[in-house]
This record gives sequence, structure tokens and C-alpha cells, in this order.
Amino acid sequence: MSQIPIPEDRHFRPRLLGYDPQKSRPWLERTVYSAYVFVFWLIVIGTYAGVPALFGALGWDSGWGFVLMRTLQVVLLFLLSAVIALLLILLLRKYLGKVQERYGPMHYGPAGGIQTVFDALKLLAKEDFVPAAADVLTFRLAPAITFVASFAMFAVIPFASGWVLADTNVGLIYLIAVSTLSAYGVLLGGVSSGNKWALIGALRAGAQMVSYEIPLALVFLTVAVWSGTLSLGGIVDAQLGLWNFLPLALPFVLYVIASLAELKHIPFDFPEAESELIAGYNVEYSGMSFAFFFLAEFVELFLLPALIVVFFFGGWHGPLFGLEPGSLAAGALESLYFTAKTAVWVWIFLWIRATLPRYRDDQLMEFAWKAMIPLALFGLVLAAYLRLIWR
Amino acid sequence: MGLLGSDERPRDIVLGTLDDLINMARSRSMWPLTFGIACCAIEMMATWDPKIDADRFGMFFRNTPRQADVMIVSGTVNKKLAKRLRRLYDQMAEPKWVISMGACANQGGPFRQGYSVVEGVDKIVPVDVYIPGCPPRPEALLQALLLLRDKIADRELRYKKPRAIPTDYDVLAEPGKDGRLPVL
Amino acid sequence: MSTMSLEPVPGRSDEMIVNMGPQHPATHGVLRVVLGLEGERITRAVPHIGYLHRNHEKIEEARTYPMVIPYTDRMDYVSGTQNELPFVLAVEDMLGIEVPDRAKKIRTMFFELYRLASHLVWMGTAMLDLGAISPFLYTFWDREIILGIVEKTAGARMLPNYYTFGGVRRDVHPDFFKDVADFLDHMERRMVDYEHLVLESPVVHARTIGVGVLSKERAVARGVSGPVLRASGVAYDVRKAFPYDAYPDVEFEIPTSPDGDTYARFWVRFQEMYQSIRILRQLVELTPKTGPYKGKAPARIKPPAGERYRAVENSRGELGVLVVSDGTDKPYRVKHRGAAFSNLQIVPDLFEGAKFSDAIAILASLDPVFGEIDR
Repeated sequence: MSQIPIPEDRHFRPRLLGYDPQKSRPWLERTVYSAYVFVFWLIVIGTYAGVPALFGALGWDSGWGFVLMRTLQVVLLFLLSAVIALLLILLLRKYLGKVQERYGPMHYGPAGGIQTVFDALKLLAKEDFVPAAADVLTFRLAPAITFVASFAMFAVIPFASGWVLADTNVGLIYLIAVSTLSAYGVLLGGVSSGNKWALIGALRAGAQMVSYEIPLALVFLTVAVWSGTLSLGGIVDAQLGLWNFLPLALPFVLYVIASLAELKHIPFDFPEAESELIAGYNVEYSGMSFAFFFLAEFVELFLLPALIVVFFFGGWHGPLFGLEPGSLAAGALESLYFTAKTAVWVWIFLWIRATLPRYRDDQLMEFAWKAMIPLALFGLVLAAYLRLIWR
Repeated sequence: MGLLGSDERPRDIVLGTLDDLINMARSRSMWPLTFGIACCAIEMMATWDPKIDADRFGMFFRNTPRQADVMIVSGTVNKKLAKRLRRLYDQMAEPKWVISMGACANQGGPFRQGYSVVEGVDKIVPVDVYIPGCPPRPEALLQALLLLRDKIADRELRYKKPRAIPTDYDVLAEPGKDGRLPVL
Repeated sequence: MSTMSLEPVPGRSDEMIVNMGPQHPATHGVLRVVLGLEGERITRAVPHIGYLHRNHEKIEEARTYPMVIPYTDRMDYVSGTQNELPFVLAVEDMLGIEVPDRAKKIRTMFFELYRLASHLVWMGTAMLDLGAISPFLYTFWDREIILGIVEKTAGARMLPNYYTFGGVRRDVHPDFFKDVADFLDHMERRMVDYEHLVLESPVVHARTIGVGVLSKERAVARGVSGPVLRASGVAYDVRKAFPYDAYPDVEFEIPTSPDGDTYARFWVRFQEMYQSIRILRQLVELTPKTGPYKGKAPARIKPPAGERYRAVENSRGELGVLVVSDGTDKPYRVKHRGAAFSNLQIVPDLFEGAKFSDAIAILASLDPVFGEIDR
């Protein structure tokens, strides 16, 4: 026994807990998460009002100046999506903790606020390898495709009146096109991993996302028919007196369900069924590639509730308290309303995630093809009829 | 584990601080692999229950070895499982650590005399933290996770790797002449 | 069916042979199933066990009788003292040791507490397999309460080594009966919630009703026991058929269901939890608060040469022990009949033709624990 050298770790004094582990300070948690939302709001104001004002004052409004302005806005939106991912991952874990009678991340940063930063840094520094049996180019490309598809939806979302990056009048068609691309990323990722489990996960994901795209597109069409325009800003404007979820109640419910399926959220999280498929199409990804899939999922967790708010809950509409519409202050207030409504819907999505088990895939497909598509068609016809007699 | 896989801490201020930061991040977001083998697995699950919640420290289970950092070997490893365990360890992405939980994983436990039991998982994978107990209490597992956290974040200790064990799957599964594993 | 690995069959080119390895998140332990999958449907399934074979029986031949009891604990590790009882009963029979009434009741109380603990673990992990992440944490919190009660008396949470020949090792903690009564009140409120979450959830209905139907004849033919057998319609419970300890003194029913599908197995386990609560309530009243906790047992346990088989009703089924003694203080042979081992034999039958997710649900409803299967 005496021949075994015992290392002298004089510097190593493990610091175990040192504070009361069970004390949660709700006021601190509320402050930290409000701080995150506040930073989010500031970036929104900066992107949509600050940057155009800056460039307008400098006189760089047209030509190359315009291109530069839009590029800067996109970079700021990228920062926004990073903040969203940080906040939502943390919020998911704290909320799951609240539902499950425990506290989520509590110790790193005030009330656990820095936890996701550490997660991100760790993933950055992790070994990122490609399995030997995988198809290298597609393997590396798939997370990028998924992330770009999710991120590109930011371009048409109106945060306040006039605060939209690309005020096209075919915003809906752009949305349908881009949201289908994320199915590509998942399929390619799973198929190129060279692993049978990833293949099964990818095929399930592809089947599910494609099946639920159809009711999604039909609901988009219903909203377009009701509002008379394909542009998202126009859809929000048309909800001035009456928010869409009342007359379009059936499409609203179908849209929520289809969004859950697009998001691969419980009860539709078959493709990444954590207890069956060992992370499904994600199974061979590690390091930053995995982080991109993760990031894409949480950005979509923000974007799809934002779309629910835009289509059915009046977007950024809210009482302006006498502020001049079109001014910076009004824009800021409207974007705050938008954020608040989106937050409510994110909370509802997380609530569903914490509570329900998942359905089997053939039950999912059956539900999509046999129940949702006929109902969506019925909703479309009903909306057209109502529009005819109402307006 | 160094920033670029190096074996000692970089001497200059910029890279050294970056190294400290990255390793602090690694220590505070360790993701264990769901690999419960036997009785200790139930106590491992009990460490994540609401009474002693290890998710407070940012640790949650990942099912695939590619995305996991820590492998908590909880239970008796026998020769049939040894091959698979080593394979899982090899599939984990660097940097990775192993916690050997319980008497069976430390040195064979009460089953040490058995003909099919591996006397300790450190014959197969390099272990960073050992937890005694049969089964160790969830508080003990939490202490071990925190010890590992402090070990990863500590400036000198994180570069002291346990001895490397060669991967030779056939040797691992093959009984030696007297029925025991060869001494590696 | 008897091949150790699946070879591709020439006629079926659609079949993918997949290995559901010893590490998979369905937290049931180290089971490996080699599946032939056609799309989502399983065509062939070959389970492989033995990844936790720890030589219980051989090691126990080299240990004295009291030293065997901690080894038996580690078989069905979720159920703690339930595993100690058949061995203890067998040796008591061989030696003719009298167990006082209070000791019997205390043993039964621990037995039922561990049945509740085991079913709570089952419920948490079954719902985790089905996709719901929250019930796992609620059930483990309740299990922590039970383990705290046990720890106050026996000293250890999960594997307490508490029973001994003639009764239990030490007297119960003064707070024991009050703790158990409080816990039962808490548990009855929680069972309402669990019923809403599990038994009445439409998603669970969709996932489990009609899935994995096990007929009565096949269940009996395969030697299945426990909740799986009772969910197929056979009312066999060792506590009623061959009563032991304090079971003749308490009133309880055996829940049976004629359906035989996964939902029936869920339901039967739920009803067993209710019956356990009922038994515990009666025992809290009936157990004398003072008195002997251990009968007279010889200092050196040396049963006469012979053999004895005793079985009890584990949370998983009929757990039995055959003790063969040759007159010395170490057993000549201890053979454990694991309940989950026999239950696992229906896996290839039930998996064939099922969808993959159904297979997960079926495995969750069978509730295997590998300490008992691999021994």
C-alpha cells in the first residue's frame, strides 16, 4: 500500500456547495428573466428602428447603403436568435422544473441565468467528428440547412407596424416555402449519418413534417382568404377590430396542432423520441453541429408561436394610450405587445411539452390525413363563405 | 483537457484565460450518458428527482454517447458488457470523463469473486472519480459530480489524466487462463 | 428463433436488422433485443440477456446463511426487502424457527411499502417511455418518502438487509407508524392525480389499449406470473394461494382483468397499488406497538440436510428460492426463480407483428428488472 504515490493536490480544495441549495429566490428569477426579455426588446428596437434611423441620418438610404443596412439588420437578428435560444432553453428547463416540483438550473449566474452560455461554450469546444460511415458533405450541411430554414422565417415577421425586414406582399408563400426546407435538413441529417437509428428517425421526421405541412398550408390559405392579402403586415392590419381566432376558431386549433407537429414537440416528438430512438436523427451529431440543430429547434419554438400571434391574435395590436402611431415610442410599445402575446403562446407550448405523452406515428399520420386535412378544407370553405357574407 | 487538446495549460494570458473559461464552461454543463446498469442506476435516477435535483447544476441526461460528456458507470460490469461499455466510451466525443459509481464499478463490489464479473471498471475505461457505497446515496453521487466539476475547472488537476487503456475488444471479452481478465 | 443473431432472410429485402442495444434510454436495464424491422413493423425479435450476470447463485454457495441475505437484496433491486423474504422463509421452515406475530406484521408492512415503491418506479419509467417526462419526477418524490421511512428504521434506503431468520434485525423506529399513516394519506391524494395522468389520459389509451395482447393460455404456458398474468385473466397470487407472514390476517383483493393488453397491465398495477395502501392501513392498526421483533433463532444457522422451496409475490410476480442444504453453515445450492425472467419469455411472441413504439410500450408494461433476470 505504501508504494502507491499519493499526489499532493495542495491547490485543490473542492468547493462543494457553500450555500443553501434549496433556497430559490423568486424575485431574482423574475428579474433575471425580465432582463433577458428586456435585452431581446432592445435588440428588436435596434434592428427595426435604430438601424434604419441611423442609416437615414447618414444619408445611406439607397444603393449600397441600403444593402449594408439590411446586412446589419440581419446580423442583429442573428444576435436576436441567439438571445432567444439562450432564453428559451433556460426557460424550458426552469419551467419543466416548476411543473415537476423542483428547481431548474439555479446556481450558475443569478438564478441560473448564465447556464445556457456555459452550455453553448461547451458545445463549441467539443470534438466535432464525422462518423466513418457517414456522407461527409451532407452530414455537415444538414444542420446548416435546418438552421437557415428556421432563421429565414424572421424576414417576414412584423414586430410592429412597419417593423418588418422584408415587407413583401407574398409573405405567406415565402413562409410555406421556407418552413418546408427544415424538413430537408432533418431528413438529410438522419440519412447521411450512416446509422440505422438515425435513418429511422429521419424517415419518421420526414413523414411527419410533410404530412403536417398540408394542413398548415391550408390554414395559411384560410387566413389569406379571410384577410384578403398574402402579406403578413396586411394580415395584421386586417385584424384591427376583430382578432382572427374568433371567426377562424377551427383553423386556429388546427394551426396550433400543426405547429406542434412542425416543431417536433411532444405530443408529436416522434422523430427525436428521446426514450425510443436515442435522439433519432440527432444520434451521430456532436459539438457544434448538434448545437445548430438545437438552436434551430429553439428558434422555431419562438417563431411558430409568433406566427400564431400574427395570424390569429392581432399581431402587435394593442391600446396605444394616445401615442402617435408610426413613431418610435408607438413601435416600441407595439413590439412589446407582440412579445407578450408570443410569450403566452410559448408558455402554452412548453406546458404541453411538460405534460403529455407522445402518440405513435401511425396514429399521428392517421390524424393528419384523416382528420386534419378534411377539417382544414372545411374551415377554408367556411371562411370563404363567411367572408362573402360578412365583408 | 486543454483548449485544443493540449496537455498543459497555455502559458500566456490570452490563451490561458480562454482555456480557463472554456473549461469552466465544460465543468458547469456536464451532460451524463444514460447508462444505468444495476442497482446504482436507481440511485442515479434518484439523484435527478425533486429531492436532490442535479439539474440545478445544469446536468441533464443525453441518450446518445456522441453528445454526452460524462459516463456514470452505475452497476456491476461483467465480461459480456465490458466490450459494449468500452465501445460506448470510445464513441463519446472528447473531452469526456468517467465516474465509477458504487463498489461494483470501483473494484467488483460484493460480486468480486464471480467468474464473470470484471473487478472494477477501471480495467476497461479510465476513471476520473470513484464513489464508494453499495449503493451510494444520491448525495454521494452529487458530491462526486461536484468534485468532477471542480476537477475540470481546476487549473492543474484537469490535465492529470488517468492512464490510458488500449482498446482491444477481443482481449476485454476473453477470459484469461485462470478465468480472470488479463492485467492491463 | 434460437439463433443468437439474426441473419438476413433471402426473401425479405425490406427487412432491416437493428440492434436495440444494452444501452438504451428505456431505462429498464441492460436488455439487448435484435429486431428485424420492416418499416415500423417488427417481424422478428430475439432478446439477449446476461449483461448483468453477477453469479449470485455461485457466490452464495460460499457464504454463510446470514451473509446470503444482502446478496438476495441485489436481485430485484427496485424492491428492496421483497427479495429477502423467500430465502428467509425457506430457512425458517428448515430450522423450524417461530416468528412472533408482531415481526410478521412488520415484515409485511415493509413488503407492501416496497411494492408501492416498485410500482412507483414502474409508473415513472413507463410514462417516460411513452413520452411524458413529468410523472417520473412525481413518482420518484413519493418513492423518496418511502425510502426515508425505511431508512429511519433499517439504516439504508434501497437495499436494507433488514429481514433475518426469525423476524427483523432491529425494532422499528418510534415514528414508524405515524410516518406510514401520514404517507398513506399523502399517497391517496397522489393516486387521484396519477390516475388522471396515467389511466385516464387519451394518449395513454391510444398507445396501450389493444397493444400486446397476451392470451390466458399463452400466459400460463410461458410461466408468466404477477401483474402480467393477472392482466390476462388468471387470478393467481401467491399471497392468496400460499399465504405467508401476515397475509392471512388482512383483507385484500386480487385485481384481475380479462383483456390481456398493455392497458390491462397498467390498470392491474394501479389496482395493486390501491390494495397495498389498503393492506398498509389495516396493518398500521393491527400491529402491536410493543413486543418482540425477532423470534428465537440459533446463533449458528445450520439447517439440516434437505431442500425447501418457498415463493412470495414480488412486485413482478412469483419470486421463489430453492435452498438445498447439506448440514453445514453454508448452503449447498441456492436457486432463485426470478419472476421477471419468466415474464421475459413472452417478449418474442408479443413483439412480432407489433410496431416499434408498441414494443416499447409492451416492454414498459412487463416491467423487467435485470438483477432478477440475469442474477
